[in-house]
Amino acid sequence: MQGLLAIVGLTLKAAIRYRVVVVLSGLLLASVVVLPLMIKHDGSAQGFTQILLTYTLSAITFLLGFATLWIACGSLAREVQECQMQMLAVKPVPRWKIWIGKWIGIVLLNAILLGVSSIAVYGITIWRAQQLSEAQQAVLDNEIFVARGSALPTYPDIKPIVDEYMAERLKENPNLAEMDQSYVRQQVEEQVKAAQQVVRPAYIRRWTIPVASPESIKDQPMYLRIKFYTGRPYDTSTYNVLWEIGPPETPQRVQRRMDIAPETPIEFQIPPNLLDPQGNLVVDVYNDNQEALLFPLEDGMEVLYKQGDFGWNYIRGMLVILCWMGFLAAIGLAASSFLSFPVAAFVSIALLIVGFSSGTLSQVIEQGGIGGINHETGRKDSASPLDHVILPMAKGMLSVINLVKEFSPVSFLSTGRSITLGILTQALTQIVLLMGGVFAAFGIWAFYRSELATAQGNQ
Amino acid sequence: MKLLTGRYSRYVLTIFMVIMIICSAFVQKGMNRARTEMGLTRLQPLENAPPVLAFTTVALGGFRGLISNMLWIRATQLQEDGKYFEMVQLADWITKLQPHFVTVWVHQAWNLAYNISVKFPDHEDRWLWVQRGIELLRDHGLKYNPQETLIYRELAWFFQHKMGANLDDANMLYKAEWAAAWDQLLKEGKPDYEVLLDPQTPEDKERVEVIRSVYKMDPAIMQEVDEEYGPFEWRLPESHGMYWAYLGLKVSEREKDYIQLRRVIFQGMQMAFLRGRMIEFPIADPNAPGEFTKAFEFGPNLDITEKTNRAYEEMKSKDDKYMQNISTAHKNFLRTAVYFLYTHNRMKEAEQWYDYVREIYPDSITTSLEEYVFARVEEEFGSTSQDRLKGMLMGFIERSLIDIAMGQEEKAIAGEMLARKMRKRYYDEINESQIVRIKLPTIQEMKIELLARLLDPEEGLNELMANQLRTRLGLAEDYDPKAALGELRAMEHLEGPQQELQP
Repeated sequence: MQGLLAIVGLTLKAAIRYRVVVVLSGLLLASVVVLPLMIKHDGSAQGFTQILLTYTLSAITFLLGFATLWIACGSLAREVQECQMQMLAVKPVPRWKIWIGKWIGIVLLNAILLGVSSIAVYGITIWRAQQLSEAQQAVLDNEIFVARGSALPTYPDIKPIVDEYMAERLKENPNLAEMDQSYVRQQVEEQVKAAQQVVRPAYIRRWTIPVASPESIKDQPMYLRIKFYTGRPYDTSTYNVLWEIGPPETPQRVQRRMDIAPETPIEFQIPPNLLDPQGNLVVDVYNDNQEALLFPLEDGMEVLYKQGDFGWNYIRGMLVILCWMGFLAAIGLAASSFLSFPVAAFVSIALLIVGFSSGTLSQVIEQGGIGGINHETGRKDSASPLDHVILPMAKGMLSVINLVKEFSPVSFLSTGRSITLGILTQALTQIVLLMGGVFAAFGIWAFYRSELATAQGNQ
Repeated sequence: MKLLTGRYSRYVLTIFMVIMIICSAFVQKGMNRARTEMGLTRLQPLENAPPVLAFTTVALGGFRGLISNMLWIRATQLQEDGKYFEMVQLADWITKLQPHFVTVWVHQAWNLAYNISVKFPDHEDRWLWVQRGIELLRDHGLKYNPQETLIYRELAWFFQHKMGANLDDANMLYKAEWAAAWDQLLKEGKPDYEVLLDPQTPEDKERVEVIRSVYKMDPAIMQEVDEEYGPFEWRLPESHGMYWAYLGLKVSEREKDYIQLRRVIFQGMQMAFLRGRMIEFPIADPNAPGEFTKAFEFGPNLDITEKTNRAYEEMKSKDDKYMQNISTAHKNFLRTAVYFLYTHNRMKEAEQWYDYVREIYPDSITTSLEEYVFARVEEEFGSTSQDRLKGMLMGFIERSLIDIAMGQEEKAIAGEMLARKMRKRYYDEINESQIVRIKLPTIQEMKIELLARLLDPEEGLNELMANQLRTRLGLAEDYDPKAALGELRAMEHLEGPQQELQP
């Protein structure tokens, strides 16, 4: 343990000696202080707070991430190159301890810098909010400075229904058996889904959303986040919808008529205490239009309710960011365990670029291959031999990348969404223990294998 | 290969480099021409740009396009996700990276003012986005492209269409906010140019400064616009549309796009004529019981009939492509002008324009002036069956009483007069045997009935308006409208159906 702590201490000292801490602190301070002065926003208090949180925290994440990779690559590869590691390796400290000690040192440095800068962001944000009027402060307290949980409607499992329909259709029309079965099934699935998500003109549809126990969110406002589509693509018109929310046939049920636009999520506040005794929110949508409205099963209807305080949520968000830093440190150290500093830095950054290009990978999977896309269907008509190789690779890479990328603490904080302990634990497991562990195992193995004595110092 | 590695290599490579540079000179001209034509780059220096922007645009070179694309993709993605709080910043960066790409300014501003604004159910939120769209064009787009016709056209269109028209559900809020802002700057929306052009008091100087620095408008140009096309009510967005279109015509370089600005002007004149006058009236303030706040409605601005006509004439002479359509619109405008002038008790002018329209468009009105107006009323209010006519007359009288309360005496007189004439015409058309069966109440009876409703503290006009109506009608202090109506009903009951020959 003493050896490990000594390595941690040495790593921190090296960072301070190389003035990394000074430069980083300066950059972080600039991002926290200067950014708010330069940002342009929509003019609302919420808009400003959201963009302030997003840009400052993103800038901090970027700066720390970049510096982490740099320090991680440098601290091992440079020390080997400059023959300092050889002095250390002959001491009675196993190499895994050197590796882990360096990792802990870098993470600790990140934790300190992240801690200081995130406290500054928190302080500035709260201080600015206090300058606002009481009404605006109340809006911020309810929408942003809060940890809001999400509740979605429960829909019946459509698989047995689709199976039943398929069987019926095939019985009615035997010619269907000769058609592409996956296509037929997809059509039937859409029909079944439509029955649960479409509100026809002049019709009412009811959603029952299990939220939480009524006591736990007593007197707390809730938010309904909805999204719908019409039959018209790129529809820019608005639709008049009547909402009736709350337990049916009770005095607390409320009505609200709104002109709302399709194809985009819309969030609006609903009064507190509208849950029924079982903790369900009943939402009736009356479609007062000529067009049918489709509320997708995935994100057509969502209830946001207060689950906790902003402070703890913010801390959990910062810890998720710290998990990312730990992962980046593992990548950098793993690369520098067997490569020289410039090559290790190049490899680490290349890995990050692949990580950032997950959108391209998703697109390849969605389109079913590379190139030759049919613009009518948005997919390839037939897969080429290359696609048979590329597609499984893309799927594999994407699932690995998503293990790290599926967390969005900055986005969650700026939209007042709850980062639960479960999410934090999941982030720690997936990002640090699993993905970081893989890189750590490889890095330690490579470090053991590397012949330090053969390294040519540049002096 | 030896040539490239041997002792003469550097000479060979230098000669090759010179040849390539000379060759590139031949294609450079063509490339520059193509870039200009396609609007890909600007060879002119960036005007009015702060040093950071000037440096960025030069230093990034061709990479500006790439960065701009990335920002554009992010903006699209965020918009799809319903996250709008970054949009103003992204639009700012995108436009600043390509400051001379006019369509980028126009598209981004349109996105803010039109596409994003309607995504918000709350009208006040929408107003924020409409303002941001206007600001992007007015405060930034025109700063770097002061001679770009399309930016002027787009800006004018935002005022005329987004705020002025009623296609957006929140249009009344936009108008109210705009009117409230300009109410602080110009008394009743009418500029006193002597003061605006040479402010003396600190308050006046401050107001002029706001007009110049916040709204980026020049009082001298406002005066020119008023003299050329007005007088306008500057609390209305359409007037500002006219201002920007006029300024665009004055300063922009691209003559082939002038026609678009001219269209904005003549459409603006049409709008200003139809509803270019603000009529203020008090309404109860929901936030302060017992207090009143200002509300408004629109009326036609009949003072600009002559200038609107001139704008049509000018447009007809300059827009050959749409001359036929403009002539039709001109004819319709003149017909409407005759109707409006008549119904606003401006008989002499109504007659003058009636003669004029018949002279230049002989097929436009083929009946007498009065017949034409009555036909127009019927056209607007439907057929004149007894019930519908009674409803229509009640409507005219009610409107006339409200106009009296609001201080619009001329219009009130015209409304009542029209009702009287319509009633007389009805009696002229029915035969004597029908008089008892399908009689209409007298105008006075209708007034008593309407006053009982309008002066009812529960359902009628608010206290301030009701008092104004009582004063302007000269009603006795102890006049009880409900009692008057009761007496009227009692008389009807006692006397039974009466013959009514004197409307």
